[in-house]
Amino acid sequence: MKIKGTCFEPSSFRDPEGFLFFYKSQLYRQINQKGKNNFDLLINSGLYKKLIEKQFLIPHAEASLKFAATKDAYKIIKPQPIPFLSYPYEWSFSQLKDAALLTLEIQKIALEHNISLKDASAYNIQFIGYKPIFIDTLSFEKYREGEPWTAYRQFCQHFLAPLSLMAEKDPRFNLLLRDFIDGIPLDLASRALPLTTKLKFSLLTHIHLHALNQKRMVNKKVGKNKYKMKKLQMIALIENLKSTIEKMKIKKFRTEWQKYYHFMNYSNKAFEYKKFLIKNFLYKIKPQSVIDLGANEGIFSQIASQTGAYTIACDVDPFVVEEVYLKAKNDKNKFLLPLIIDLTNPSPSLGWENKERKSFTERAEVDCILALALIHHLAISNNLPLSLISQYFARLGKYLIIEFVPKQDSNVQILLQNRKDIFDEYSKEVFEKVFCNHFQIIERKKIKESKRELYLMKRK
Amino acid sequence: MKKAFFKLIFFSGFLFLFLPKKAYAYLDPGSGSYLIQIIVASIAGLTYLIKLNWRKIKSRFSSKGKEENENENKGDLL
Repeated sequence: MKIKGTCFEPSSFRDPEGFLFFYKSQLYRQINQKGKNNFDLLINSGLYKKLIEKQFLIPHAEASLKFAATKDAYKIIKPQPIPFLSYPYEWSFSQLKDAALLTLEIQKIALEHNISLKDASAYNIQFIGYKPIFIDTLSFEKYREGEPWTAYRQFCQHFLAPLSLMAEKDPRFNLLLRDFIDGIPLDLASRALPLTTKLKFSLLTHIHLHALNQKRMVNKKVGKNKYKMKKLQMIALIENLKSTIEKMKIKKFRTEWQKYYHFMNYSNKAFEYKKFLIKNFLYKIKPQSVIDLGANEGIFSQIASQTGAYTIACDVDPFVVEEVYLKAKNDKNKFLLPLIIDLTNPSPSLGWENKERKSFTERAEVDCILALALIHHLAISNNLPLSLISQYFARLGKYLIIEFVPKQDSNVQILLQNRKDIFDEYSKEVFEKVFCNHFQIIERKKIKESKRELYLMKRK
Repeated sequence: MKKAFFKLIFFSGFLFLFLPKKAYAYLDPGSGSYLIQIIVASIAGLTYLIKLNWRKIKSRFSSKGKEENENENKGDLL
């Protein structure tokens, strides 16, 4: 029985111990009577305090039971909100790696308190800027001596399989997580991984033999009383997974976009001037949230984050997103979250009823959109009509800082060199006219020593 | 004492015997995953124990190491 005015969060239905819901657009978590013991154990054992001190777990405040969404509520908590939801298929290699290591570290600390993680889903981790944080307060259960780690299979599917594929094959394998919402099936990972990985003890066992054993044991009952695991063995297993993941690295090769800045047709002065203009625009509109579409090396995202706006740096290239993340991590920047997003095919809504994981567009409503050196890639490389670009940008942001790159620009010439120019409409005049259907131009500045112009627009 | 210690290391890899208890979880651990996990954990458990006690094991085979170990232990006490 649902209580009036509440709305269940559609991704939170698996665990009988509780669920997330919205009440007056605020997010709450209900702990059901069934989850009472585990929740009390988390708090009373001191584990909650320890994880909060280390900033590993999302803090919560206790809310009144009058907010309860159903009648079997034991407690209602209000977790600290996450500024922008992101999903594992949007993370770069090191983001997924750090999320995996955080999960293992939490399991290790939990074991010291005789508590264990009952699931190890990558969706239990969110990022606040550079920092991964565990968000599922109900993932903890009493550790039972002798029992193995229930979440082991899930950990291998959500973390180990994608990470090893990204490290051993190609970082774009993260996208497989989009098709397999409960992590990459181990038989698939085993087939796709190079044969040489069978020589590595950890991958041989956790992936290849694991997959083989899953196939062998399908629908067979395990004598759980016969096979037991000591706590020390569980700690050793966690340590083994940890060192396996710590050692993983992606092989670097230079991509199309990484070369971009080297072919950029800006003089140093023009580039500095562009930075100055963008900073000025941002100070003028003071956005709380920014999405930088096609962020590349994230230079302008960093500027936006320095103005205090929570900034999402989106790019299609997993290597540049990796670089931006590593830099944000190095700078301890809590206002910058880089994500792998292909703007021409952004993350769809996924899962049960297409509601479990929200599409990028659903999540991406912000105060300001940055679209710098982007429009020619959308309009020319991707044949997108200017009207559709304008319409989409107006849906995403209240303000738009956009750079118009004219046909005479050498970068546009490169895009047109091997194809027929069918883009009669691609001109500054048409661009302004079309964008004025959705926006009002507040400021227009020519970028010195270049043919480009920068616009600050406000949604109508 | 040492004998008991080595016995512990040797058998830690095969410590499957423990209290029977019903598993309760909303996730299906998967039967294949269940067994492979125990096998990996047993091997990892063994190496983990050896790593933890590497000095003591080393000292068992070298008299010099033995002295060092004893000195260290004294140091610990101090």
